[in-house]
Amino acid sequence: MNGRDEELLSAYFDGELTGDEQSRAEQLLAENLAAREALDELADVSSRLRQLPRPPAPAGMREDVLRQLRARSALVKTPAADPRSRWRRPAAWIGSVAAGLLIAVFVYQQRPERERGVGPEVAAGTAVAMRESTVQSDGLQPLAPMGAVELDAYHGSPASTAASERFDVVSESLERQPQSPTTLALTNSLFIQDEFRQLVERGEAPVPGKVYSNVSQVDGQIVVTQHRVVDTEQLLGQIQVVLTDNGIVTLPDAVAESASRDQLAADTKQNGRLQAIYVEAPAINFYNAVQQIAQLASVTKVSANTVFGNEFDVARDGAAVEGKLATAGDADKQESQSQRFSASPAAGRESRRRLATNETEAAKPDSRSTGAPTAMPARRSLAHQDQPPAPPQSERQYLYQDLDASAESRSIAAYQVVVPARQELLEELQQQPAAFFDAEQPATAAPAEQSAVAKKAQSKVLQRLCTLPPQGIKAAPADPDRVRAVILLVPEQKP
Amino acid sequence: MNAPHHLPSVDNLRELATAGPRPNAVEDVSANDQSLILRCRAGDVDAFGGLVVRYQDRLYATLVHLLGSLEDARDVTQDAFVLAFEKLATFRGDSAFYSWLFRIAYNAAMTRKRKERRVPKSIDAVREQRGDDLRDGRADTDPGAAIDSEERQQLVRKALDELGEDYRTAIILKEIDGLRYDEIAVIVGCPIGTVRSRIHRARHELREKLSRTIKTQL
Repeated sequence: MNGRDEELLSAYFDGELTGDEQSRAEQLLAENLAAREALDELADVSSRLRQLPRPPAPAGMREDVLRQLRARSALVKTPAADPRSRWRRPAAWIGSVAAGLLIAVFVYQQRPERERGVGPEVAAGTAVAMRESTVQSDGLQPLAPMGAVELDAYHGSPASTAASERFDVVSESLERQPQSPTTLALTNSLFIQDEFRQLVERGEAPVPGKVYSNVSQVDGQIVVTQHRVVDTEQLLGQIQVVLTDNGIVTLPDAVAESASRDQLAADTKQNGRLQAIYVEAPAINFYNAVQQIAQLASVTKVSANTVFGNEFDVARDGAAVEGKLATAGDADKQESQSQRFSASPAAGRESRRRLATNETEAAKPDSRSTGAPTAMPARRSLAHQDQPPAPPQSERQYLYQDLDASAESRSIAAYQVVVPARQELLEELQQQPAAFFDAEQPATAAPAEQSAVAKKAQSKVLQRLCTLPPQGIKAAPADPDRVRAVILLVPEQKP
Repeated sequence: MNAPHHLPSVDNLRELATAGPRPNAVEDVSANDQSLILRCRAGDVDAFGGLVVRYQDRLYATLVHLLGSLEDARDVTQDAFVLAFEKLATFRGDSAFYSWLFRIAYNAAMTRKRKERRVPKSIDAVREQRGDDLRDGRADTDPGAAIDSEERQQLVRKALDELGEDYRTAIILKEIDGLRYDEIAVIVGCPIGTVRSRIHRARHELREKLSRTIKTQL
């Protein structure tokens, strides 16, 4: 019996041996009396240690902890307690709310030969409805309950500038379609005017999950915008829990192992926080997870070209493969594929038409059960039926092109979670900064310029993540029923 | 001091060794943990109370032995829970919640020790200082516990306190808390092989110390 044998027995006693070592320990015990005595002694020491008293936690621990948590929460919401609080600064607050959320899921999956070039079969089940009005609050609290009715924006009648009149006009319009869930949502918050500004003026933090209304005037029209507060950090955690619930193994160190780690870190630091989750999982589990993630945030299957522009590179087996995605000019492809796999522009138009003609049945935010998810338009016009609003950003994104489907047995699908409210809010900020900021609040830079910079920076970071996937995730898994994917969760740079 | 008694047979030990994790391992509650965690992330602070209740005794008891101070253990336990709540979004779910929580607690405990440059006090010292008994909160203690004398427990605690910090930590996490080697490795930040070695060394030293004490007393 040497020291190594004793260590072996110690680990054997703890049940921490596997395979060969286990056999070796058992053989040692069978053949060696000293080994058996040593094991007895180990058991004795262990028994004595386990008999040491284990005092129970002091009474009231739970209450003390919860009290502390609530006190901290109250501190955040009571900026007066901390004069440096960023919640006292309207610009910072608006900035954090305006920051959007974007999740892209890039799937590397091997597909059977017969499916090549046919289209993204594997993605058919992952098309998910788009929910609107999700905006981010930085470092705050969580998502609103799933399935809540949300409304992004609303165009009312031309109105005077008097707030009361504006509300009257909007209310009148709303009364014409009482059954609409969007109408109800709007009605419920109609009399909370300009909540953003009120909140800022009070120096308060946004309440987690709450939908805030903002009323402004754009081009002579009344626009009521509702924004839901979402914390991307919380969302990341929720996504991770969803993945775990679906038995999906995350590869937390994948980014760290990437050769591009330093560059990525630099980009992330420069351009804002960026989260990536690399996973490998059975396809069914992964797509189930995507469905569930869609309950947490707005998800739709879209083209990556809205992220990268027209060019999209992906590393494959060490070599970069260039794929050119469909552009907005590929109208036919865009239309056919978007209807099949993602929120449909046609459906969006239909929902607009319903609203415009005062039909009582409104488009539902989530219609996955129909197989053709419907995106609610970001803006709807009631008063100007013959002047349809410009297509919101979300409706320009339903492109899909199976990259390099004819080469080898690989397809790459791109999923993107977009938050129309982000675009909406940014547009509002650009067009009507006075609606968000106090008059004396100086603008630090032209909003349009900021937006362009933010978009470019985000695109750069995303591209780097997707073109330089870490080792081990570049290749499709041998099992055709499994996928490797990277889920990107990218808050847009704050204006 | 008498010779060791109530020892299981080698066959029993083999069964024990191959029976898998100890009863207080955490896998069996992971599903419930996740449910509570989801609720916490959805803003339900009270759900976190469920996690506190579930793990407070286990965490506190281990910290008492690690820190050698009831007061410090209470503060660190409380701080750890608060920190855990704040960091909950970063919990990936790829480990048991308790081991994640304990890692936070362990870091807090080490920080506290460094700040206060406190020499770990034995539980006996705590008892003398506070003048109260260290109650055992377990509902179902080992059968031998009732028989093992108070004097014997004091000897064990003294021997434990005399161990090097690394050995002491490893053996407490193993024997008092019932953590697995891989969990301990993550918590203290060292390879599993090192944990295995430290636990072995700790047991070896404890055995030597207890054996010497017994001989001296005889």
